[in-house]
Amino acid sequence: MNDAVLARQAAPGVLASPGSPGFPMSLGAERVLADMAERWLRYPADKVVLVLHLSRLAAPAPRSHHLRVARVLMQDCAQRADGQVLLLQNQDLVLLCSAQRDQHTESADAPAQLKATLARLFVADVPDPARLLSYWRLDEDPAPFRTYVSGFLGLAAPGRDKAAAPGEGIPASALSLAALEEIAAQAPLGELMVQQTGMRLDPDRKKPLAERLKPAFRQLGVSLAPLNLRPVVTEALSDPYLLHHFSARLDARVLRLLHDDLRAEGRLTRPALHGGMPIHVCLSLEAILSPGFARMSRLARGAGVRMGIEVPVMQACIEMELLDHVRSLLDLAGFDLILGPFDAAMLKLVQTAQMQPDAVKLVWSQHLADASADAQSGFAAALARIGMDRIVLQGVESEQGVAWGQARGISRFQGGFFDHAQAAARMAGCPAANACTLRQCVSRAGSQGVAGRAGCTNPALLDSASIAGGGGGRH
Amino acid sequence: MLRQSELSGASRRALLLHIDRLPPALAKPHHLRLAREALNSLADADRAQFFELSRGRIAIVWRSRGGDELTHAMEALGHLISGQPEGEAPTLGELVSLFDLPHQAVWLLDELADEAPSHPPSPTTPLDVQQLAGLEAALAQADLAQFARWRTVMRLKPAGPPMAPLARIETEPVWEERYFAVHALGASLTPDRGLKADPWLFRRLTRTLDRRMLAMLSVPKDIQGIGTLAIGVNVATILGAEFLRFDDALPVNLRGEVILNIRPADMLSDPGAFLFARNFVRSRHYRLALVGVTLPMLQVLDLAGSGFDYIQTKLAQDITTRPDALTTLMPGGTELVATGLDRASDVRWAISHGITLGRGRALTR
Repeated sequence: MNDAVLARQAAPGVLASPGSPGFPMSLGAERVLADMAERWLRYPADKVVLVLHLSRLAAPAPRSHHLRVARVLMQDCAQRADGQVLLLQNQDLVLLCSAQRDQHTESADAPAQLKATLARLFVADVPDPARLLSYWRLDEDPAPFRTYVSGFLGLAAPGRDKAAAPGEGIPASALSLAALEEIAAQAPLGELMVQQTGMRLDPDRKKPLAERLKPAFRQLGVSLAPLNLRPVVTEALSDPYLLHHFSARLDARVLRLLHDDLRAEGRLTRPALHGGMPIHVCLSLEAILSPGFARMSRLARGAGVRMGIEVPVMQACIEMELLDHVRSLLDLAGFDLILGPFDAAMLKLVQTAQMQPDAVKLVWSQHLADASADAQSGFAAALARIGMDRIVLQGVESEQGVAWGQARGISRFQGGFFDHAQAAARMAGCPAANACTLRQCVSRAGSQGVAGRAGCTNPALLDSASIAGGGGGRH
Repeated sequence: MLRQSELSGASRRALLLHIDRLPPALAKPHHLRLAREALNSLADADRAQFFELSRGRIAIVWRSRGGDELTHAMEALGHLISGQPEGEAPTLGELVSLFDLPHQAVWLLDELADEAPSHPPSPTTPLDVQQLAGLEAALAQADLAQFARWRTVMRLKPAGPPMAPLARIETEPVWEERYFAVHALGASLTPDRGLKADPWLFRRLTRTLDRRMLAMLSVPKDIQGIGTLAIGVNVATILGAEFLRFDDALPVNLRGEVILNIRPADMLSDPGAFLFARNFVRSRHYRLALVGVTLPMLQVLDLAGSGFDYIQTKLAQDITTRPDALTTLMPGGTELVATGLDRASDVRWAISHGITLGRGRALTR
């Protein structure tokens, strides 16, 4: 499922292209920079250069608003300080200007003030905003600027203007919205269902990884990847409001699908029957309050299926009265209330423990690891209030995420790193594995559709491997 | 009808059911249905007339004392709120007001004077996304001046004892809030659809309205002479080209005098973008208000250090019954703005609890 996009988990901006609409990148800005550098280095008195290294932001940043807002601030400064702003191919913004003292404030020079402003602006995006900024006085030490410019001189002519790609903020067209409506109403949901196994990791590092891993739950969701949507449609889904509307429409169909699958003891829910591995599903509050949920939950309870229902944390916060009602319904069904997805910024804004969830889905990112000591202690306090046994670290693609989680006492994980570990174990025991790659095995195990599993001659193993060891315990 | 009763001296009895005083936990659809059914017995009373009022309130007027019918209705309503912990539900006396007409007509009229300006209810059929796209395109071109409104946030200054008449409470306009009348807009552009019926699509639509408001306020003559100003904006709007143009055109005298109203859903829909936008507007000397906040939201949002100058909340029953909770939950360095101060008693309550900024019909009469 690591290639797939669960509609609900498409974090804002993830689907967005990095360009910035209406913000043409000046082709050949590097050449202009080189020319200016030559002149300015010849007469460096009072000349300063401020570089905003947006290229150093981790993907999917820089987002279009980073560029748009930063450029306005830099142009403002350029106007006041007789300067010029250049946007380079690598998305760095370069301000070359005079270092004269600000006429309005008579304090620090304008670019130095701007440097402080930009550092404050990016404090939520990077742990150390100073790393994004270079401020060079050319009459004091021109060497760093010279080195910076020389890094661009050998570059090939720029290719396609990335800024022309669709990006955030473009109003969704009627066409793309119509496509979304059609998908919500008619897409072949059975083929779009995906799964990912969440794992419990034994903290004893002396044991081999395979012995330390036990499946803890199975997340079911919808992936739009098989539909090969046009960029304009995925772009529309980067709007969180359209995403919520769209997800709520899909939820009704997901509930029907689960209901029918439970009744038929189908592949989606069979591993969970009679106390098997719990299932996690993301649903909107409206869906949980619908008759469709009541029907599905009655069947699930009767069949001994344990479920965790993940509610979007944003909706939970703004609909607290509904959340209380939902909590009662889930209690009645014996299901767990899960809140997610949380990232570093959401952790700062929400007192998660106050919402008393049974589990919380925290999305791993480099930001969590690189955060300042203050921010780290803030995260640690927030996580401790929630309780480490309630946290699932998801989106873990590498050992770094595992190590970060384990160091904090987190024992449940979800992500590509574990998908690969399971696929490797499956392939070791599969007689037909010679014909497959690890990546194919991961992708096929993630898919619940027939087309998504095509090519596997041992499909039973795809499911059986993911439930090896059983579930057990509170999920 | 009340005035006729006053003039003719005809004896009537009136019951006003304050459904809006039910706490959220008791205001689910089935509770509201039960509350309405509780009044059915009064339908048998002599010349009973039912009136649907705003905020879900219901008035019934009938002739004679309404003995058994009234008793049955009161019992059923009492049953609805029974079993609730003290303080978490209104008492029967708070839920129901009874009036003997005509000599208590003036009291009932006073209650009715607090009604919102009446407009027909919005359709409940939501927009679909294609209609939304069409509406966005139409709104981008339409002349929206006729739908532009303003309302004033006042500073409340008690000038006498807590129970002083409203006339003795000094108020002073502090800022003007500009907005579009969504109800009128919907009635004009999509009369058969409720703009707010799908909250997600409505939130999306507000971005288009934001852009139009910013465009209107970027015309120098339109903002000449105004003082502090508040506008509702989405985070995406702040980070968009229109806001940057607005910021560029903002007269020097308004720098630091513009309050940006942000809603919790928007803050939480993209927290990373919100934090970036917050840092940007603070650097440009805008003030920030988090609006539409409820007491349960305050309990789960961590607003300390979030950069808001104001938290705006509607005076609701859960707040008036637990004023201490409000005080405890307010983050330091922020001022509370109470909205919905529609009755003199609301204003007095706000003042007696140290609230000094407010908005509502009682302040603008």
